[in-house]
Amino acid sequence: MGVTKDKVTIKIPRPLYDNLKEIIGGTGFNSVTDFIVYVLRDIASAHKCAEDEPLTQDEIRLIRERLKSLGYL
Amino acid sequence: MPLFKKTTNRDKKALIIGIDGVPYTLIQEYLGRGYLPNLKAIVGHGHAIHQMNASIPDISSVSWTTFATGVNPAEHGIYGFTALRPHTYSLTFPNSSDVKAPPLWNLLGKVGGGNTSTLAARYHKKVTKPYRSIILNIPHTYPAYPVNGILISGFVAIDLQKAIFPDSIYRYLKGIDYLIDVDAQKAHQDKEEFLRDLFSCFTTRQEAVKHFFREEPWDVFVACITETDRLHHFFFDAALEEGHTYHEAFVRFYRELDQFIGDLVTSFRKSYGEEAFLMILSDHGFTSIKSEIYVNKFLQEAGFLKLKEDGQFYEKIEEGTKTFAMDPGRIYINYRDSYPKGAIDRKEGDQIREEVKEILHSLRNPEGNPVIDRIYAREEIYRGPLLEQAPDLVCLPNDGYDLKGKLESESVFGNSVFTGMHTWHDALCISPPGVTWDGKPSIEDLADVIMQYFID
Repeated sequence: MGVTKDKVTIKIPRPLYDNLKEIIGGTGFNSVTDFIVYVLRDIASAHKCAEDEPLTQDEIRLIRERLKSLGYL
Repeated sequence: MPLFKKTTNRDKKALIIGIDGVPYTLIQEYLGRGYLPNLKAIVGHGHAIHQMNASIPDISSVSWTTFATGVNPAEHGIYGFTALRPHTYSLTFPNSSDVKAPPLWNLLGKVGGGNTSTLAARYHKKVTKPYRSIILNIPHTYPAYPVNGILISGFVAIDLQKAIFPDSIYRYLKGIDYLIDVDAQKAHQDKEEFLRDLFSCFTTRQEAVKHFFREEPWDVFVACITETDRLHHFFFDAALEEGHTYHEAFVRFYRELDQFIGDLVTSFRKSYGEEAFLMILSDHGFTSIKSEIYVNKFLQEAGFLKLKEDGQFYEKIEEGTKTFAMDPGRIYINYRDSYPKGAIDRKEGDQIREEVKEILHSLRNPEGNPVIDRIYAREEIYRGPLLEQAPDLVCLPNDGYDLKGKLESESVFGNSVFTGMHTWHDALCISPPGVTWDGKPSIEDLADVIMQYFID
């Protein structure tokens, strides 16, 4: 794993890289790296959320409704 | 010199009454009209009435958290009712567990503690005994957390069992059909029915306040009335217009509020004397809406924001977006290192901010008047370790233009069921005798005054 000032290089298998390159064709992702960073960030923040989230999905739904009813959403 | 007269710590009692969204100018008008005899007596009794600045943005979650912690959003971490999950466009709803600075009741109660905010650093070693607090209905305290005393969360609390500490008060609250909040959705369908609910919700709130005030031991009692804010959102146009269908109901609500405050303050004075600490405050002001402003629609029309059809809320943001707005006037630059579809490099940041400021200042109503009063860069108004989470720019509108963060809208200007909007510059504080500020106070200044009372 190579390290620069604010980025690190992570190695992934070549066939997986090729496969991802094919998947992102025409999707708006500029590179496989951009796609991987996007997916990993999503997983990381969802994981953090699942661990720390003090609100249930049902509560979040009701909070959305309350905020909407007062014009905040 | 100490601000407050020396008393023994045992004698110290503070009553703090929050009246959500009550404007200083309206109270002055109603005092003049003779609608508020009890507040008039309080003000005539040595208490000064101040016009106060709210937090920026001027919404309850930010303002009440600023009041409670005595620090600004870059220290307590709450910038709005909504936020985006780091490095995504996913909407989240900050709650009490996201507040990064201790509230004054936990500093006074010696709960948690340590040097965890600038207010805590000033006072945590000086609080010599743990003071017991009752905190009732302060917004952004949900889910409820341990306090030395009792906490009943306010807006946006959902589940009563999670909105209380300790659990033992559940039975009482359930028994009186305690309502955390009136159902504001009803106002969209039936204003008459909503008004009835609002009065009934206020009645239950008063009952709970009086119960805990009388029946529980406490040193600090903080109670907030939310119903004023709800009344204003839907009926503020009736506040001054005597011929308005809802003027009588609006004034009746204020008379009831005045009576409630009068009764509570009389009991407080009777039990704890004239030297005890009394403060009344609102978290922001209100004014009538001329037009709602859909800031994202304006940014979209100006070519700064690109949206796709699918996705929820900010997940609609497309490639090429330079900036987007979140409620009420928070502007975020779509930086490459912050967002999945970021388009702006950090080194372009200053230039983009200037462009966005210029375009927002150019926003005029159909008569040619500017909509935006001022735009702050985050470093001009916030200071603290959480500055990086702050919006890049924050807009304060001219009175009457209600900035909305909604993404989908037909046009930049619009009107809806709401007739009142928040104001930053017109919150209210009725301060204890002897408390003065150099210049106009801000809601951030109040916790310091309360702490001083307990440590002098």
